[in-house]
Amino acid sequence: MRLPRRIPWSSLAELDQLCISIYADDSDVEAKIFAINRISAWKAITTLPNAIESTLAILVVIVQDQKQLYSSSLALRQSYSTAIIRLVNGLVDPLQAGTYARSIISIAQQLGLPTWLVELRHAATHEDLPSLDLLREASRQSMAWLLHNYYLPTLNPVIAHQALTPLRPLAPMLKLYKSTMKIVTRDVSLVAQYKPRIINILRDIERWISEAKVAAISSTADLEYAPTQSFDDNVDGDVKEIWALERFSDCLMEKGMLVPLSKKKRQYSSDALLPSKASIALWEPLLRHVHGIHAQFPFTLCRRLVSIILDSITSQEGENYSDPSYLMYTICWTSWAMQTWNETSPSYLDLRQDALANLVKGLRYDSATLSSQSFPFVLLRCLAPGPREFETISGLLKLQSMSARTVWSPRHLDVMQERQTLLQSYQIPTRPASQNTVSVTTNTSISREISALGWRILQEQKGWKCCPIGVYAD
Amino acid sequence: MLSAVAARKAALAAQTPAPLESTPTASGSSPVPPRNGTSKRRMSSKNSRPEPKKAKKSSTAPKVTQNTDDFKQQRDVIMVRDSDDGTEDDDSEAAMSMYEKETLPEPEQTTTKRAWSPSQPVADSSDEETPEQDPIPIDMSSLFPGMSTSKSSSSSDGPLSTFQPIIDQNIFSLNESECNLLGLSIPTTLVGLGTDDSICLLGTCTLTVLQGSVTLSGTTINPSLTKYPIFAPRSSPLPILRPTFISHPQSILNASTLSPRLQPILDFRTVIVIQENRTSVEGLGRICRTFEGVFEPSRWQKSSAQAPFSIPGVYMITQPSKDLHAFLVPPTWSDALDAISNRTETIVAGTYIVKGPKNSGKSTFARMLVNRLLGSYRRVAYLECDVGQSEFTPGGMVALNVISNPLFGPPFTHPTLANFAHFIGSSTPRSNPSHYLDAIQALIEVYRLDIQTPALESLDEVDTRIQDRIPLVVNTMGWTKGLGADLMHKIESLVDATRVFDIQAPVREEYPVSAPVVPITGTYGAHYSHADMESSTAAVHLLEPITSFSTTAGYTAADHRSLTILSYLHAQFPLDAIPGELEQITAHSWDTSRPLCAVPPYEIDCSIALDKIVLTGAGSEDVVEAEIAQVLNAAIVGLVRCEPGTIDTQQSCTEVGIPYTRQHQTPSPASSNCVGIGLIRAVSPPKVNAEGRATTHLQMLTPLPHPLLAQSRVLVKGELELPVWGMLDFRNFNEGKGVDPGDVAGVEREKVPFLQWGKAREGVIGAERRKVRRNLMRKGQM
Repeated sequence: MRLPRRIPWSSLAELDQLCISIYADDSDVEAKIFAINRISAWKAITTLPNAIESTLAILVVIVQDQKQLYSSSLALRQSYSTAIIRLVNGLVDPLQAGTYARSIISIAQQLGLPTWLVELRHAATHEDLPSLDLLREASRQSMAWLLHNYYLPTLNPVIAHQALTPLRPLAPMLKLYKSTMKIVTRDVSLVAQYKPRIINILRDIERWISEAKVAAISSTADLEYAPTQSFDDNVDGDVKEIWALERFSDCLMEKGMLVPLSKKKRQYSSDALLPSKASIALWEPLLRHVHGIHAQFPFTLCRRLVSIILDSITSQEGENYSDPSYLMYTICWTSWAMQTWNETSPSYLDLRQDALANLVKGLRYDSATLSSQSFPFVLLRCLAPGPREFETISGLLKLQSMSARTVWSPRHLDVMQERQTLLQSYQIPTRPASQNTVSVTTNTSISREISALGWRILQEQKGWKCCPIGVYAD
Repeated sequence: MLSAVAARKAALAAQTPAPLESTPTASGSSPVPPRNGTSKRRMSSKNSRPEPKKAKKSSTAPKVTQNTDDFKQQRDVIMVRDSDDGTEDDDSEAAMSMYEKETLPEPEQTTTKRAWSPSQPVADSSDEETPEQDPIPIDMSSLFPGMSTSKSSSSSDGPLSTFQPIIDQNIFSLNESECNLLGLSIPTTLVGLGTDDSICLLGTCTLTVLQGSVTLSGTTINPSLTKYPIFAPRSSPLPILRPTFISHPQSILNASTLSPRLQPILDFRTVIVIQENRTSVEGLGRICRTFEGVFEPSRWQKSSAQAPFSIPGVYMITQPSKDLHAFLVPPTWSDALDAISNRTETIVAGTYIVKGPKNSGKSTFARMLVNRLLGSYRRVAYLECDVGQSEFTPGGMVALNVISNPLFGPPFTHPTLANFAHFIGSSTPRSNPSHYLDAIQALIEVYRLDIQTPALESLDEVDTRIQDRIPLVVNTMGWTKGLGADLMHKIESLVDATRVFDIQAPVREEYPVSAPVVPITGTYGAHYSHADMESSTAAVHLLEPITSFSTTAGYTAADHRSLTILSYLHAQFPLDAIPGELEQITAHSWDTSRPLCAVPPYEIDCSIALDKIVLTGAGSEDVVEAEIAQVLNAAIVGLVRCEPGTIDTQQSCTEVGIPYTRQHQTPSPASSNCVGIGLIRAVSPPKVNAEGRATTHLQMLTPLPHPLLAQSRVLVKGELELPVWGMLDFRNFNEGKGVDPGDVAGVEREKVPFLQWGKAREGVIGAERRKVRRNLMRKGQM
């Protein structure tokens, strides 16, 4: 479940009013002072979005400058500089999502922030303080940027924004990784020599994932999987991360990556259903490395693997699906993932269960028509914890599809009733619900009077109505 | 997601113990043992590979001799079965050579360093010479950071509960008449414990010891009819109840009061009573759903939980599991605790200070210390300096509590009115350190003057514990670096403890431990000098940290803070009580039947009931009078009682009808006292009253007793915020997991003011709050 976020304005109309008073008339200092007071008050209520906080900082300096309230130009230059530094940092920091720092300029480019502001930030931090002229221009451009990238899109969601830079392709990086690992696995003595290169490739891949996370801002709509367990504010980050990992898994599952290009190399050990040792040797380090940084990776990958198998039922004509060895190899990787990661997965999200649930969900009614030699059933056999469980599940799948064909009759109502009572009897004894209300009565009856000057107790009987926090009901 | 720091740590851990050649367990690639028959083929296949078209090749040629020498010195060359053919190598080789230009060092340097180049013809001698040599697997994990996702070894040493419940042998559910005979209420379960039995509890119940004695959370409970409420949620380590070895002479049990069925219980050395404790505390989990069902075993723990007592709400945990941990007292802790109980003969009651970094178990130890001291003293004073996670009050205040009942549960299960407190208004003293220190100093003075040797009218003759002296336990904050370290030194010198319990962090110092103190008067370091510390006679106990349990169970400090505030706002205190100097007033039940938005509030007339409203916190000086109503709406405020005359009441309500002046000082701790906190759930528009003056009405929710409300005429708003959970309406949460909660108090959720659902709209940049990141690594750090 995703918690809402506390915001200081009660409705967008208030934000609109603020926006107008800032931007409507450039020379209206009074309106700007109103905006400064309003944002200062909001800041005392809760943490503000970056853009608004930066607006405040820049606006304060602009008003100071316009009213010529400063005593030395140094003070003014310092105020301008701090405002710009904090604006750039504030925008860039949330996008430093990966393990390693990305260059600020590359993030700014992705955001469409004028790159000279990044240079100015650098100059203001480490070099001589920039000149007043330059800083004034920077503040003007920053305010304009904030208007077009924060206020207008927030207030008028219809305005299309300029698309973020498209993701660069991942395949070359993966190919390079593969060829490097081939060398290293063939000859261990080269490990030391190739270490820097492998590290560089892994970093590059990690960088690609961070970039994909940023790109996910605009495209999280087509997300297949969102974690249900997190309650915190970071869900947003998680969703983006999963989107990025999905794209990463897509690339991994292209032919020539996890599944070798040439069919004769897709040799798996048929009893254990594992990919060939060479394949594992090539890819395990990368997969483990990504898992080390992104705990969600096994889930994302396995979902992708399962969905490939499921797609094989429905779309027969696809390139991958006329290719049985590709599918078998996919199954092998799934079973490898189970072996490798099931232990480390957090207890509330069992990897095997997750994959199994996805598979069974995806099968729907198709399962009856499938032979037990078909790929989904092979995958099912390898996902099921044991042969007996496999029999049970596959039996159920067949059964379910048969009963789906039965005709509705009134006696089914009795069956449902029976099942319900049966289910209810399974519940472990918890406290009866009535006990939760026990203590309520104690407080309402006593002391409905308060003898403090200026205080009174509102009561529902006397017209007070329950309403959201922050709403005044007389 | 693994944080980057954790990943870095894991990478370090993976690197240090695993030098490349020595680890037998390969996590990287699995080599094939070199067999004579295959090696030839492999060599030939290698040689027949097309030569990569590298420009550098020519430059490497002169070095051939040196390269082969290097190669001979190498211990082994491991060949993985070469199942590749050249079909797909061409383009990747080209890409590789491109890459090499970017990332590898200059070609000249490369060649000198190169031990072996894939483009060289292989001298295939070593493989033939040592055919029997064992293959040494490649441990790739040393190459890659964050690869070892090693599981934290769960403490799987034996069962948690050794007690084997057998109905009517060592467990008896009493019927009504049997209860009456014993003077107990129904439902009651009698449990007989053998010497080696232990019970690990989950849930809520009350415990009474009838015969023998038991230890629990650092204290020993002796036979009496006192019912001790026990709160054992999954979000904290679970308590383990054990019989003690010293047999206690008194027993409340008497053969005559027991029905024949119950007679066998007398054979047990220790007999306890477990009863239901109805507090509605479980309802807090429905309000703050992060903690949903923490008083019950979770789905995947059902197997290790039993409910042998037939008392609703309490379970016995037999086996530890991933997120169910029992609290095992570290040996250094029990030694330290034993040391203090041996020295109760000191004339003046001791002062004990507990310090250590965050998440090291300070509050847990302090709680055990209080419990232990309550064995020898009738009352124990507790000074809370941790404004982030306070033991008795919600965060944001420095509080002095006088405790007379032992504590069996985490902080949110015993919200207690402070006997003396000062409002800081934030979960860290960072924005106003001097006020924080003043507050602590004021409380220590109060302790010395009024509490340490209390003026008691009469002594309780029955109670054999020390009554006329009250020891002090000081819990400190976990901010032990930078300014926090300075503050800590100041607190230590103020407290001047007789014993210091120092929980040692696992060493990972990023700051120098203590910078030389520059003695400038007026700075926080001013009162601290090395001479002071060395002259101190305090006995110092070094303690080991407990593994930070709550973070492994998925609860953050922020989660606990939210829960504590909500627990406080829903708590039911007696409405006419006043905590004097020595009384402990703890809420024992919670009104969790309705959300905060449905609780009828108090309405306060600002012009009559309040003298002053003060804002504190960084940037609050900029709030102008016209905007104050907005700021107060839905805010958490501290209710402060000031001594008459210390607050300027001349300047009355402005045109907005709220007695607020910009940049007003917070009330001085020397002349004020914070009685508790409240939530301003709404602010009315200004109205003109009978005298023609504007006034504003505030609607407030607070659990405080009425006499305290009447005294507090100053409200202070700091940086504390109402947790978002508190703004929602749990009655409309859907039961299923992962479904968004619904409307709030009949208002459609999209229209609920001050809340924004979902992420920012498409194309909006800068809508995130500022994130503080300390996790980024530079390229060089790997």
